Amino acid sequence: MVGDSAGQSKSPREGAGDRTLVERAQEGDRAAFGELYRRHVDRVYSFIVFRIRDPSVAEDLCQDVFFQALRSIGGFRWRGSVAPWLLRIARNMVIDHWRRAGRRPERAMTAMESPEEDGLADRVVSTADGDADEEAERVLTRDRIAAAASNLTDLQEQVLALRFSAGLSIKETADVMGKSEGAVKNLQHHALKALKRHLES
Amino acid sequence: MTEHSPRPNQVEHEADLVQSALDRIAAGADADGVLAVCDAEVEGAVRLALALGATLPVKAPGRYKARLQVMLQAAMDRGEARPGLRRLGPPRLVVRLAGSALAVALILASAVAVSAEALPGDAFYGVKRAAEETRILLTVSPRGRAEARLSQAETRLDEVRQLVARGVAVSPEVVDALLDSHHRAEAVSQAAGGDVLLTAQLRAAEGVVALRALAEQADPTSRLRLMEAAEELALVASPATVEPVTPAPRGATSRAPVVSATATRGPGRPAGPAIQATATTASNPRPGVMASATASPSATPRTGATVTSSEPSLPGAPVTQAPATATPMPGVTQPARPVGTERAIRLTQQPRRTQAAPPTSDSSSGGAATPEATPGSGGPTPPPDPGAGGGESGRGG
Repeated sequence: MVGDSAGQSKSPREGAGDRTLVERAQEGDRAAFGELYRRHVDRVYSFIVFRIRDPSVAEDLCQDVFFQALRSIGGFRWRGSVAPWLLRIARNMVIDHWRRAGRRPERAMTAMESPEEDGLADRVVSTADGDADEEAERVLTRDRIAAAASNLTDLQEQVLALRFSAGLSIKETADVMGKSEGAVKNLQHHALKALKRHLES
Repeated sequence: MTEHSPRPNQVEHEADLVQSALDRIAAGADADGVLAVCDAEVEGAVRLALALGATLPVKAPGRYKARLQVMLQAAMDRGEARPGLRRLGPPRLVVRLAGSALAVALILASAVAVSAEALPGDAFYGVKRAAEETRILLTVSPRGRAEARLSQAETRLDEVRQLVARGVAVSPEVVDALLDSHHRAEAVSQAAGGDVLLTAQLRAAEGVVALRALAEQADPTSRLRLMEAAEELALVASPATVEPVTPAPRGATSRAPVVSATATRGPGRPAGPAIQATATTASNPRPGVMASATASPSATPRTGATVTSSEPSLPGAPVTQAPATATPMPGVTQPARPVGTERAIRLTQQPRRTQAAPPTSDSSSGGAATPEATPGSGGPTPPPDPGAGGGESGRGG
């Protein structure tokens, strides 16, 4: 399943489709940009919500990402897929947000102290697309993971967010983070091991 | 962060193993099979990765996504996405959306109110139809939906009546919509159960009678359309069978549609109910055909339909009861008839009907025997009353 989602943005058909859409959007085709938005908004939102933990802030930031993308798509140069470009914007938005909020990226906060706890009901409501019980359970699991992930380094958390929340491939993740694929694999492995340790403790 | 890790080389190797296991699983390999050959460290990481992939992706709330798409579209329509505009914090955004939603709601509400009387071709007709659909969408129960569809069909029929009365051609769209409403009513009433289904079929039978009567008054193009629609609707009315229109036999005194609405029984119902369909053209305030049907089970399948029309004093309303030789010509304006002039077109059963129906025409008595079968204009047909049906049946036997 991880692989599935990680592979999504790489599927040749969608990749080619994205490329055409990017070109058309660069020529001013509004529908093309709308379609790019539609294809990738969940990916971007997922990434941000994992990093920020606050859905309402995530909505704001996600909005900023796409307005930023709209303004800068003229300068975008195709390098195999469009998702890393969007996620790079998203990553920077998150960093900017922390800067504004005066919060350290390496949140030392534990889940117990974090203000997210009271947001559970909101999240269940806001994401209840399918079965409510199932979704509630996923939210609980997500919260456990988020609590454990709070103990990871920023890079470790970032790699997990890009790989598993946004569903990027190793190559795409490397593109966003400006690292080699080997470095991303290592980072991912360390992150998984550390997360497992914290989940089990 | 590598304090727990063994030598760097081995870690790198593990990282590769984890990723290649994930790649294989992503490519469709069986996860357990892949993991069986991995050591515990790798397996643990892969399983966690799979769990993360299943858990972490979330969808942005649908309404939020739609809203943002609209905002992006608006920014593109302005030819730019102004930096100042993008930071719509929640309060401002909410206020704006609430404000525009309220404005839209007010505009829509007044448009819906204005549209209630709209006819096809009018500016607000689309609003009227959209409002109808919305109401139906909000109706949950199959029975409610069936009734809503029947009421919708009634509205379409009413529109056809008005168009015919005004001498305006009846567009295929309206006719299609009329049939569509009946089809949907029938489909949903099958889920709702017995009496609802029977009601839907009876109303379709009434529609057939009404359409045929209207066809007689319509312009040639519309006439053909209405006759065809009547035939299609007759299929919906089945098993409340409505016989297809055939040219009246020689010597017939009228070219009025021959309606023989026989409700044959659905499975499980007692055999032989006959429908007396009575169609009355009301004089005021506008010409309209009120058709109603009631099922009266009887031992012998008996059919009878009475079309009584009293012509309104409207120019252009053709006379339907005329000798065969004096069939109203399309476009010929008939002299206005005094309001209240009553004509009864007796529609006897067709002789060719294979059912062993007695040739005696008791259509007049049939019509007269069911005075309750003539409800108010456009009102809902009372569902067949089992008690009354039993009485009829007893009398018939």
